[in-house]
Amino acid sequence: MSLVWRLFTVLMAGLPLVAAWIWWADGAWENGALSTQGLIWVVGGCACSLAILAVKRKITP
Amino acid sequence: MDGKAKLLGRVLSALALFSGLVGIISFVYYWDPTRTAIKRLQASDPYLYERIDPKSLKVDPASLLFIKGHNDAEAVRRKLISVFWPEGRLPTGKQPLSVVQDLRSMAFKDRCPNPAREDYTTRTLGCSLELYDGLENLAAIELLTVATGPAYQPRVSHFKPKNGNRRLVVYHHGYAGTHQDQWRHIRRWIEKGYGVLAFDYVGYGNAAPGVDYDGAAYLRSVFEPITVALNHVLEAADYREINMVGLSAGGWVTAVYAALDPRINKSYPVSGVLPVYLRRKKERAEPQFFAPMLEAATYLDMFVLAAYPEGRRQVQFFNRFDRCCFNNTRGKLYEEDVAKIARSLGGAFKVVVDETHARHKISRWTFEEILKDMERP
Repeated sequence: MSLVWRLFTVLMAGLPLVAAWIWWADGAWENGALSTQGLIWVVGGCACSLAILAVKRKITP
Repeated sequence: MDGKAKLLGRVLSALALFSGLVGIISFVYYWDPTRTAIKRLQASDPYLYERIDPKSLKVDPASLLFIKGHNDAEAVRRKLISVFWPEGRLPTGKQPLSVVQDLRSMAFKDRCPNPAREDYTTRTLGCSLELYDGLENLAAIELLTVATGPAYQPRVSHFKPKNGNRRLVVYHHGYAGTHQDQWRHIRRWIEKGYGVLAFDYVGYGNAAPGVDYDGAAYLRSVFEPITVALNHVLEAADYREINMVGLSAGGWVTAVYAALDPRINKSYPVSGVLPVYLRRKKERAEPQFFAPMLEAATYLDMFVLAAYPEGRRQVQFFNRFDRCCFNNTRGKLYEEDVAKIARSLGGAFKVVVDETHARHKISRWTFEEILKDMERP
């Protein structure tokens, strides 16, 4: 795995954590600095990306 | 086979990259600081958020203020009340049709008869009680049914604190949602010892089904439930101060109602009201332009009335980068003129601009500012 992909993987794992922290720390609700809808998109997008990367590693080592 | 595996690897890499970009772009789009920057860059004209339209500067706000002293204030309030109640006084003797002592004691099927029909605009308190689970300072949730006629019987939620500070917050939500959207704010008020009387706008949540707009009778349907619910809670509970907060159309209701009923001590309209001359296209809801109402009092007069008689005050909040409406710093244009008259009558008036986000909401920042002001004597 190239360095770029490694960094990308770290970003995909870290971004949802940052988003979840903002969502939770600021009230975990619609009127916070990150809405629930926003959190779902961030977590969903990053989780999909990580899942695809995992599949890729498995079938194309 | 090797070629196929390579191709598959590339396809999967592209998919992973695409999904990752969705995640990154969503973060940038939804997180308030970056969202604000995007909305500012996207603005269709410079007068949306950044600059004041020169046309607005041509109007002298003082020329729209007809209240100069106590007698004017009394006369304008009487005139305004007569627009909605032909008998010329607020119905302060009227009581709710029925009162449920504690909604939480009702069986689910009774308090939430149509859960399948609930969405974000129709969400009733009866179907959303879990939002208030674990709230230690909550003594009971009263549900009042009030009536302004046979066709309209909205329900009003009264959250009663166990250890109260004898202060009540009247919250009015406005269009396209219900007061359930503000459960965090409501919980916070209750935790601080405030009682909360929460209203939905005509046709939404606890106030559905609504009635069609037809002028004075419709507007009475907007305002009278507040009077009736206040009559009940002031008789049944020991409140010494009443504060009113409203978002969007609820902010408009707050501004007009505070002008009508001096029982409201402090009022906080959020992103919901501006004088007619400062309104843009999206800020022209028909009920807010009811001619007899505007003939009785200009909006600037209503702002003064909200700070009269002595000791009352109004603080208006605007979201400068609000993606919806009532944005920019237009409220600052009339602040000094209204404040001057309000001061001379013993009250206070202020305009505050929230620059922390680009949404149509009561932000955490605004909420804290409101709370600070409420706690001031």
